Parts: sequence; C-alpha cells; structure tokens
Amino acid sequence: MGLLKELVLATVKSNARERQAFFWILIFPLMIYIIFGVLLLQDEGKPRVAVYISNSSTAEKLAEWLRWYNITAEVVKGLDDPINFLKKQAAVGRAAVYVATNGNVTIYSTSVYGPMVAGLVERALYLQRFGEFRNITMNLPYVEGGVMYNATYKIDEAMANVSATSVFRNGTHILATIPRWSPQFGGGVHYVDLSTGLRGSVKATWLVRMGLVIGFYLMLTVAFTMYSLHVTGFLKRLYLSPKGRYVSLLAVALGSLALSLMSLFSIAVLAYLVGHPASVFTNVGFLVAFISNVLFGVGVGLLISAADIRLRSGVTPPVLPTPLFLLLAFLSGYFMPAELMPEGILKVVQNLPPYVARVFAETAVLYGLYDWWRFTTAFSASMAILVGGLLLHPVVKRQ
Amino acid sequence: MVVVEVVGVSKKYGNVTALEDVYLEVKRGEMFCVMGPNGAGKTTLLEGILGLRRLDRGTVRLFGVEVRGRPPFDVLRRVGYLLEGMDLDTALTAWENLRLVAAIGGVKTSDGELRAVLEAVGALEYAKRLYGKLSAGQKKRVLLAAALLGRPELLILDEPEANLDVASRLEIMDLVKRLVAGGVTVLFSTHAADIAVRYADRIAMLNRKILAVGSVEELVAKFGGRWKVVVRTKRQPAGQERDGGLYVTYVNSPAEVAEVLRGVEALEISVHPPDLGEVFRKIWGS
Repeated sequence: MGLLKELVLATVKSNARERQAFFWILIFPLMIYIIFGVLLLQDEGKPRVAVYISNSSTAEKLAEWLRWYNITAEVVKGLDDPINFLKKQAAVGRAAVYVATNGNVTIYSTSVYGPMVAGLVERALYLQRFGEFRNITMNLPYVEGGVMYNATYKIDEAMANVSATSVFRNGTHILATIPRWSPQFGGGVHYVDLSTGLRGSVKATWLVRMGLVIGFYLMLTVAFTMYSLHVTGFLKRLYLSPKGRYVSLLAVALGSLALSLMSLFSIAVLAYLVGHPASVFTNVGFLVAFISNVLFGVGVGLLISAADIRLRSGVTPPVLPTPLFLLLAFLSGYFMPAELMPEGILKVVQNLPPYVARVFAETAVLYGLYDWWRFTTAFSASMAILVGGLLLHPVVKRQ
Repeated sequence: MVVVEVVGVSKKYGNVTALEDVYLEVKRGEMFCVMGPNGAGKTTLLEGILGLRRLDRGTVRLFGVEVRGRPPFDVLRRVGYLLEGMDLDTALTAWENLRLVAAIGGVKTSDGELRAVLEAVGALEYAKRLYGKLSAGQKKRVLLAAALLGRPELLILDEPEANLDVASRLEIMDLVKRLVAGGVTVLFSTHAADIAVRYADRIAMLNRKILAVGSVEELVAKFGGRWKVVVRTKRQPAGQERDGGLYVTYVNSPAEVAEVLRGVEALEISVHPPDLGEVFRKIWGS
C-alpha cells in the first residue's frame, strides 16, 4: 500500500506542479468541454427533419406522426436496392428507416441521428398504430451507432393482431435527415418529447463521450509518465523494487488514473454548474465503459512504453501516443460519427474496445439498455491488452 | 569479508565487447574505485552487479549470495545505489522524492529517519524545496541521501562526482568518504584520476578488462608515477627543479616528503598525488 499511496501522491503532485502536464490533463479537457459542450450547444434550435417514405398509406401516417415533431417527411418510390440507398443516405449524415417485408425494422443513420428516428418510429408504431396493445412491453432493442437492430420482435407480436401488419411487412422505406438527435429514455416505453428533450440528450451524449475519452486518454498519460520515469531513472528503481514489476507498473497506472479521475470530476462539476446532466457519470453503463476504456488506455500506454524501451536506444519522448489516441478516438466515434467512415473500415472499427464501450455507455445512458454480452467481449479485450502491456513491459532495457 | 565478488564476467553488445573476463573483489569497509575512460565498461559492470544488465558470462556475488538478474530483496535491502541517469522528480520536493524512493525500495522510514539522512548529507535545509530548483551539487546530495535510505551496508555509485564543479565534486566525495568511515562499503566508478587517487582505498583500472588492481601506492610502485611536491622557499634546495617561481620535486611516496623537506625553509608546501591517468595510459599502452 505504501508504494501505491506514494506513487499516486507523487504523480498527482508532480503533474499539478508541472504547468504543461496540468494544462493537458486538467485545463484542456475543460476548455474542450466549454467550447464544444457549452458554447456550441447554446444555439440549438428545433430539429428540422426530412423524412422520405414509400408510397403507402401506413407510411404516410407514420410521416404525419413524424411531422408532428417538426419533421419533414417525403416519399421514396421504386427503389431497386433500398438498403444500399438508405445506407448511403445515412453515410452523408441523414437517418433512414427501413421496414423489411419480414417485419424487421432497421434504422440507418449516423450515431447522432439514428436513435431519435428509432425512438420516433417505435413510438409511432406503439402509440399510433397499435395503441390497443399498450400493456405489451415494447423494449427498444439494441441500438448501435444509430442502427436499431432486431426492432420487430415485439412489434411482430403487436402486428399479428392488427390489419395494418401487412403494410409494414411490405417493404416500407423511410429516410429521415435530422440535424440533431433526440432523446429516448426508458427503453422505448417512456419517451421524452423531442422538442423539450433534444438538448438534454445531446448534452448527455456529449458528457458520456467526454467522460469516456478521459479514460481512453490514459494511453497518453501512462506513456508519458513512463517516459518521465525513464528519464529520471525511476524505472531502474522500480525494477529493483521488492514490490515486483507488475505491482510497480500498476502503481504507475494508478497514479495516472488518479489524474484522470480528477479530470473527470472537474468536468462533472463544470457540467453541473452549467446545467448539464452530470448524473450520467453515475450510470452503471457509463461507469463500466469508463473502466473498460481505462484498462484499454493503460494497456496501450504500457505497450507503447514497452516498445519504446525495447526498441529505441536513446531516451526520447514517445511519438506514438498522440497520433494513436487521435486516430482511435476519431475511429471510435468520440469526435465524429463513426458511421461516416467507409463500410470496410467501420467493420474493423466496430470491434475496437473503445468503440464498443462508447456505444454501450450511450445506449445505457439514453435508453437504459445494456448489451452486456457484446460489452463483456470488449471489456475482456481491454483487459487482455492491459495484461499484455504488463507482461511485455520490461521496465528497464536489460541489454 | 568480501561484499562484492565478480568472477569472470563478460559482456558484449552485438560485436562490441564491453567487459571481458572481469574479476574483482570489494572488501567490507573499503572504498573501492573502478576507474576507466568513457566506454570502458564501468556502467555495464556496476549495473551488471545489480542485475540491470544481462551478463553473458561469469558470476556475481553480493554478500556471498550469487545473484542472477535482479538480486533477492534481502540482499538488495543492504545495497544503496546511485546509477547512471538516475535523477529525481523535479516537480517534487527533496523530501517528497525521498519518501517516494523509500516506498519504491520497500524501505519503511519515519520522518525522523528521513531528516537524519538529509542531515547526514547536509541537505536538510532545502528538504522542502522543489528538487528542480536545487543546484547540481544540492541535487547530488539529495541523490546520495536517496541512496542511503534504509541504511545500506554497500553503496554502489556510478560516477557520483560527475557533472559537478570542482568544489562540489570534492564535497560530495568527502561525504562518501565519511560514510566509509561510518562502516559503509563503497564501490564507485570514475574516469577522473584525481578523484580515484584522493578517495579510493583500492582502484581497479578497467578498460573492458581489469588492467590492474591495487592501492594508489601499489599501482604507482608497480607501474611508475611519482608524487609531486611543490615548495615555496627562500632559497632553492639542492636537486630541485625550478617551476614557475616555485621549487618542485617528485617522490615515490608521501612518506618521502619529510625527507625531502629536511633543512628547507619552506614558506608554502603542496603535495600532489601521482598522475594516475599517466599510469593508466602506460598500462593500457603496454
């Protein structure tokens, strides 16, 4: 415990006193939050959404329903390859809904717009078309990156009892373009009004992403802390420490984590002060996703440091962490919708632990849905990366 | 009792031989110097003894215990070290740094013990100042204090006087010498012949392999080199050379100085140790 305590204290004090470190770890995230999370979200108007619906009476009703939320609906006719068309629409920032002949509803969109459409469509199905089945639990199934999967297993039950079922089964194409996404809380049953909940939802999403990025950012903090320990010869001391190298490395990681938690705390305070939903940080989904990102960040940081020590002869600052962090953060949809990327890249990206963690946390916070199975896989991968970092880190180059 | 024993140690970096069949013994209570030019293998040897370098061949024993890789903790706790590139956190105070070093080394220290260590090296007055704000000499004192945590019986110091001004390097080495007087065994390296001559009880001349081992007197006696005696006097003693207004003579050992000065009215006398660098070059050349 002595080593953990002293290393955590030393890391916190040292970084708090170093102006550069203090800026990057504590001030910079706050600046980003203020610029993008507070100032740019101030002028958020009503959503303006265009919806294209195939020529059917049911779809028209659905369009009307969407228009009730200030969404513009239009009809799409005679598409040879509707799915491909809708995916392309989604790729340019629009949201699209496809009701297949087998009744499966799929929402194509960017991660920002999709859930709103998903919620609206589901609500339309539930309240407008099948209101008499209110006592049926209509869970909004897994929404990933704006794509709602397997949405119809409950709807099918409802549809089986109404005359309009066939219409929905008959290949309705809905395309929506939405500038912002909307809130849906409560797993598809308790929807929040779009016009009042939109802002809160965007802010919640922004908070989740900022919080998760801080966990993920540990790859830089750990890599640079290890570098600093290398420069000061502390790594030699750690190698010779009776605590063993694993405990020593974990103690270093814990020191870095303490900084991340301080950063997270300061963002939570700032969010609270400006009226943002800081309580998202207490959501179980967010917390486990944050831990997953922490494991991933520490693991990658250790791997970078291990490679630096093993492969480089001199002691020079690591060059990899910053570009790697930015690349992974962008790919994983923290700074831009991941769905805008080419499909091939997206397929790879969707397996990255930070991507899965983000989607898991957002879905948990906004819908109360938890895809534990998928998340556990990503969590295990993050854990494996951490273990790999610990095992491969030599602490010193024993040449 | 032998504290450090190095038996037939060899080390190569690729095709470059760093150490070749090195043997040496450091006895309890002595101040043993490994002297050699840059690139002679001093750091490799000292870090190899502590397991920080992978040795190709040979055996290292610390306190009679054979060590391979990192020494066991019950051995390590008896060793203090100040190695190449070892520094402290510039954004922490000297005090905080020592607490951290103690925690890493598994040394339980009270505030009183920390204070005593800092006092022993004359660093107590700036214990609460940021390490980064200290002068080079002050930093070295704090580093020495870090090496002394846990009251080690053996100190391994890699060029402890390096990068210091003339006065500071002597102060630091005087400190180390005092530690030896207190019962600590010191194994240190240097490339400065004057430091080796002035402080070491025994010197191992290293240039990839051990070229010679012994006290200054033994080395000088064996390989040549004389002590320089500079005398300012009213009249020139017989047999002395004139050197810039002073009279200079050379003797084989300090014991001969009194003999030389007999009958001389000296105003000022200074005695300079033999130029061990010259001896080193002579050995190396041979």
